[in-house]
Amino acid sequence: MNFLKSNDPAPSRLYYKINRLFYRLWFRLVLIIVFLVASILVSKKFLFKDIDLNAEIRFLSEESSAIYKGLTELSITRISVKGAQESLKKEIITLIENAATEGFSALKAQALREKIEDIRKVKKAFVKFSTDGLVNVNVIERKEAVVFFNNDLYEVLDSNGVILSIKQNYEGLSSFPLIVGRDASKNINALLELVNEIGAYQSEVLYYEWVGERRWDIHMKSELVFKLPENNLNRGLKVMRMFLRESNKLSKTVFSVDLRNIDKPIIKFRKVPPVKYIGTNTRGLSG
Amino acid sequence: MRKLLQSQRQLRQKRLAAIKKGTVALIDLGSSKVMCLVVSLTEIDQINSFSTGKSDRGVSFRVIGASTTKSRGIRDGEIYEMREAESAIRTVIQRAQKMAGCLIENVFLTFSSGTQKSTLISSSIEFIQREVTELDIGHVLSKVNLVNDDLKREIIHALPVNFSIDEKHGYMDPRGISGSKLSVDVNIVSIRSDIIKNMVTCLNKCDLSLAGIALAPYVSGQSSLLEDEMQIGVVCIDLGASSSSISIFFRKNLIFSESIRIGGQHITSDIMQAFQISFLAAERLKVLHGGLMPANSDDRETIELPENNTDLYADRRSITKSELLGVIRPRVEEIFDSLRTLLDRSDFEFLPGQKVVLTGGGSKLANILDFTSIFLAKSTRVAVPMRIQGLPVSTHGPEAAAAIGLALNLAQPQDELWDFKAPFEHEGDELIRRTWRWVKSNW
Repeated sequence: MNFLKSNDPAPSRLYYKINRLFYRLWFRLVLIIVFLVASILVSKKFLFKDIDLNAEIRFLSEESSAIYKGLTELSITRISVKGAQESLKKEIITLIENAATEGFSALKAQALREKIEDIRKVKKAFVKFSTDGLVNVNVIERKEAVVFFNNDLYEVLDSNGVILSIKQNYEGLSSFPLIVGRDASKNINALLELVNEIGAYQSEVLYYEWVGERRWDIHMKSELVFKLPENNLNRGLKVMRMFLRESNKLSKTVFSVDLRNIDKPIIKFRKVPPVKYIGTNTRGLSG
Repeated sequence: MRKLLQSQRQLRQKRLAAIKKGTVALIDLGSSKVMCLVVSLTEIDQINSFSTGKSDRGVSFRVIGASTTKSRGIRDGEIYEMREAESAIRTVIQRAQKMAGCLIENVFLTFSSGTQKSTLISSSIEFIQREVTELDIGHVLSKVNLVNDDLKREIIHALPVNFSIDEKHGYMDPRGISGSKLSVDVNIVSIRSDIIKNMVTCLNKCDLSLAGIALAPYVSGQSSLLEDEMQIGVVCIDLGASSSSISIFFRKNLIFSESIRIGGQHITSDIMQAFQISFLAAERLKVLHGGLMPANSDDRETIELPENNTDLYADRRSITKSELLGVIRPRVEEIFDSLRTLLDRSDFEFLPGQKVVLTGGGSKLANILDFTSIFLAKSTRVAVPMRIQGLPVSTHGPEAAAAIGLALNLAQPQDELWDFKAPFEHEGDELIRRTWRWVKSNW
């Protein structure tokens, strides 16, 4: 008993199925994607039919690269390097300027820092870019500590054994302790302590030899050799200092002082006259 | 038995799955209208179930979509034209979907069928004197002889309506009561199986999945009857378009349900034939001017008949109201006469409650209340179904009783035979179940 219309329209089967699909999320997403793609294609076909997309993209990339270039040029106006000696400072500035010409951006400070740290003398570097084009570089420099005679070359090392420079001759390096022997460069910290302990007698030392990968021999300019013990190094050094202080006159006749057994030091006397100059003898001593 | 349990349990599983999804559609497939309600469901604690087969959770619901359309391709509660019925379902579903704003996949179906048959079957078991357990209930229910004399029928409802222990009747929940003999009366409601098959096919063609089924007389009663009425005994007469049905409730259970193949459409058809007017005009005449109790003024009150032709010079015909009543009343008397025969067969007169409740679209007919009271000689009322949350006011009337009842049934379904596990299904898991029950009750 109602007045429902006899011609109440029923949806067709197809319309009904599509209508049901509209309630499904995946179908809506597909429709949105299809609509967007169709819009792009239609606009390309009719609205922007005279536009060459390839040419547009090329133009945009060129434009952007020009802007980019301008930005990089603007970004470096001044370079300030702190914490480095003059020679290193110059090297860093040259490096930054070269990098700038390669087209690095201010955003790549990390890359620049890595490049600076690649310089042997640089232990650590901090790079900052400011908006006015200033590049601030703070550097912690590696200090030359010893000279390592290796393969007929003089290698200048820092306290960690990093090679800072390599030279053909010994000129200008006499202020640094000279070391020889296999793997001597791996024990620089121990050597530096040793040198420090020797104190005032440093100037009389010709070179330090790392023997058998376990202990040091100290070769004096007077051709006297101190064979230091592996253990009780301080005691050995104490004996050595005492020997040098007390027997200055004897030193020319003594060939070596063997302190390897510190409780029973052995002193060997010379039988042949000493060699005059070490420079000719150091060759071939390397381990 | 096993096959029936399996198929009904599958339907129960579908029901649970549909409830979990949160939105279902309820379709009342009538002969005059197809109504669809979309309800959104929320799980709550179940309070009225004691079967082990069911979940402990009930559902609360809210109507979020409703639509109605004129029925097509359905006659006497059966699908006669598949394509037409399909288009009617498509119409309501699409509208309801639009209103609810969500996709409908699972539907619960209710309809009234002229082939409906209600049978009360009893069974009993005997055991040594002890407390009745759920196992015993399952056992006695499994003894119910469900062998159909007619293989073409499908069981829709199998409601345990009365438990008896040692010849004492009226137990609703016999668990924990001591005794040595447990009996049960089960009301089996069945219809012709081809009707169901056609309806399922029709729903499948609309991309819908059937999640549950209930007969209209049963669910109409659930929505229209008061709790007290259902307790002491009441008959609910659902006056549909092409069929009228009665459902008798006692102690809150459906104990009898039958239907006849005469309804409101037959009255309209009579008017149409008597006055040679269109069906729609006859329906309009019935609703606006129809009645059942004659009055003195009826001979003087004239009603203009709507004409099908458009000839302005032709005289318009008119009839008196008494003529109209003269057509309507004999058909209504025939309907109620048939219903009275059914009532006599059902032994309703032995129940303590003798109330008649009218529902369905036919109950809107003028003076039907007085007519029924006199004709059946019983206290009568016209029921308006229970108000449910979210239901549009325009949809709320006796004609929506079945749909509303279906929603109520969905929310808190009554225990049916297949909700209890038969003894052969308990093999193996009883120890675990007992342990779990003990743990649950102690902590």
